[in-house]
Amino acid sequence: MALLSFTLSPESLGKFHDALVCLGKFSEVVCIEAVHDKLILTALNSSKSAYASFTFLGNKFFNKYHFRGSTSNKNGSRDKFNCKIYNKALVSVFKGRVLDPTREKDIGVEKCDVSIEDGDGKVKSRFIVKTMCRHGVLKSYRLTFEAVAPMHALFVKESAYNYWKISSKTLREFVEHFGPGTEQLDVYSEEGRVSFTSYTEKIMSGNEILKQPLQTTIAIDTVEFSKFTVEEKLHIVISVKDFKSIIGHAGINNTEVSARYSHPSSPMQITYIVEGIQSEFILMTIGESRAGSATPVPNGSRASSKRPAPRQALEAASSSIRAANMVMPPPPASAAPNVHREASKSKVVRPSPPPPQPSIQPDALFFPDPDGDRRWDPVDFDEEEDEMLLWDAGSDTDVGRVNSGQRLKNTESQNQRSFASNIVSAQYGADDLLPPTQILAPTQRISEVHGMFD
Amino acid sequence: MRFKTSVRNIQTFSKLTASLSSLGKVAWVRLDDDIVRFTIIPETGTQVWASLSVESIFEDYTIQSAAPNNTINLELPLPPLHRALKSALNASSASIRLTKKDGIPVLSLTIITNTISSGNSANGFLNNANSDPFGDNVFREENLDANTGRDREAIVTQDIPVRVLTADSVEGIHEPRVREPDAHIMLPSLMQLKAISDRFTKLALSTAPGGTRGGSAASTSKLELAANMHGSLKLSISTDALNISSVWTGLNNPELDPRQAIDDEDPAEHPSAKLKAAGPDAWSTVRIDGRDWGRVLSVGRLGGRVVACFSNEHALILYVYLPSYDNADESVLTVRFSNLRM
Repeated sequence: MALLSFTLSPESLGKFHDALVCLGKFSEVVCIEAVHDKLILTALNSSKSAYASFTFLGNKFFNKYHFRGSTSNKNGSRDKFNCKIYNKALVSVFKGRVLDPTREKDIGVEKCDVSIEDGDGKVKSRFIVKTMCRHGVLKSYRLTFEAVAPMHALFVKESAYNYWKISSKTLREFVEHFGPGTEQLDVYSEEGRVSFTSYTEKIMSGNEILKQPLQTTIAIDTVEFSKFTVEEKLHIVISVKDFKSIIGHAGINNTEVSARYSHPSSPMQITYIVEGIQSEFILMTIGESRAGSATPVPNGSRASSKRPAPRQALEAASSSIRAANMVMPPPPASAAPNVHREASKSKVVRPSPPPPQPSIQPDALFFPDPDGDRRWDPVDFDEEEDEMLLWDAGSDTDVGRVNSGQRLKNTESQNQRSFASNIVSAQYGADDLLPPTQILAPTQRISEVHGMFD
Repeated sequence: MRFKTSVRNIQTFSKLTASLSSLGKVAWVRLDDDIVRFTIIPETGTQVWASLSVESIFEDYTIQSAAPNNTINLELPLPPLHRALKSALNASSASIRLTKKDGIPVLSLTIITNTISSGNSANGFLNNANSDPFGDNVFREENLDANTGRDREAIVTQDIPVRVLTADSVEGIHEPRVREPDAHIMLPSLMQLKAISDRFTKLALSTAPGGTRGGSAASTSKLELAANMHGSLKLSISTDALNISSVWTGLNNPELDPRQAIDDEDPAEHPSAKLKAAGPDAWSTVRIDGRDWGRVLSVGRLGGRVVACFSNEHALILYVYLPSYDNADESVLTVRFSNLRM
């Protein structure tokens, strides 16, 4: 019996696909969470500096939505279903919209039924998509998933005293002005003018100067905003790539985008609602770059928010993760060298985009992990390749990683991997793991393979 | 040192930068009282010397420097400039000035553009398009103070990093002198020429030994270009597998500009006169890289007339005469190809 089933109309299929594409810009795995009246898709990027979530309302977005809390689980009735799927798989499965209008007639989708089966060994755990197309063509997909609880970023609205709201179309126009290659976006307002600046903070000299990406500032009047209450002369800096990803999705819909934030190094929340879909993004903001690395001291009004210090206010984790942490077995032996290696690397400069190391505040957006701020460690790609060679490490965690597609990504950060291995131990069952044969070492070197005529 | 100007014709400037940025990533820009010159000298490939009258792209032009003619030399990355101008395509105005930001010299492009304002007018745009042209709403009543509601301005500033070059550092760079051409001919429609050339280049690449991705041997496709002084242009490739050529006839061999002729030379002694006398079967030929050629032909978007000058087995020079503004001095873009050895 299906644990969850829902039906998408061709239009909602397109929107579902758009959301997946947007989530794909944050992470290559998407976490799916179903409760009786809604379906939530989330993604958390590898540096845990950006979180994206789409909530599809059961009665508004879907043609049919039915969640059947099963009683077969050991914990009694299940009021929630969680799983994690490789985003690319979902994106290709839910690709309903055909860009070429002349071909639409032939392969147009009429409806799309999705069901999730999850059982204790009797039923295979599968994510099943059946797409009904014109001319009676039926496409079915059965995807495996990993049953894990997602990470949620929490945002304390009460302490975010800066708020603005603006048309998504206007934001899209702005984003189009931003050239490629910049890393940060600074939002600043003074005397009724708001400026969005996309820039990259790099020290270059000589010929290198010419490689500095285009710096773009867009200055508009606050009247452009339908609501605007923001502290004067406050610089708030987020990753321009994340902002582009968000506006890339928001801009295709005609809606109003709201942003809430407090001060640098505290998270920013961006939300908008499109017909039955609530979109929420939580982005880490970068500390004031010119103020050095000192943590801003919260003033009286800020400190009077619900929680005493901003650090606590920013901590966030789903309760299930907390629970998982409590029942979690001690970390596998292989984790120890990992920690050691991370420590030895903490001084290397991060090679790729956001956010620059010196500006990072110790305050974390997400549940603090035991490694402290090593989450911002640079990714060492060479190191990672060594890791990839350890096919036959043989530990359970490796099996889990193969299953969740983590192994496929060789730019994964250290943290994400430790997160993945934590998660694996919280799995519900083993029946969605790949058969162990799939992780056997290759038996022949490529160089030994000869062609027919060699 | 001061430089500040409005962009008179954003479209033209943008097309120019589009063409230039496909030919090289960095340009040397020389600005003075009358002329704006863009020079691209890549390590390999084609050289471009574009010389434009200030009026053809700029207006309200102010330039000031200690050098004669108020010359300012800049090293400018072309892709960012082109990207920046893209923002200006729908702008109501755009201006450029040379300034310093955070210690780095930049060309700052300030664009004033109207935004689709939030609220109802965001829909209005689309709704209008769908509305019945004969319905009651054709003459939609507008609010008197429409300016406050709809025409909201956004000021976009695009900062392009530049290097200000000293006069000494560019002193030694001169437009190379090439020997007098044997043939000069007006090219046919660049669009057509480009389509055929690209097709040839593709064929040459795919039939070259080693296949399409067969290393360095296949990475240059030699396109053979030839012209006579009787209105014909020939484009051909030859590989082990095939020989193809296209011939255009009835083209114009323009008269040489008497002002540029060398005084003490008899016009009849000019190489082109000799080639002409040799009849329609006498060709002047050069071999060039097909992909280079394809990139150069993208200057076709500027809509200029193009005269190709051939120096047999030596060089090919294209003069692209850009449509001028106000009958001012013509702006010319000069592209030089060196002959490739067989």
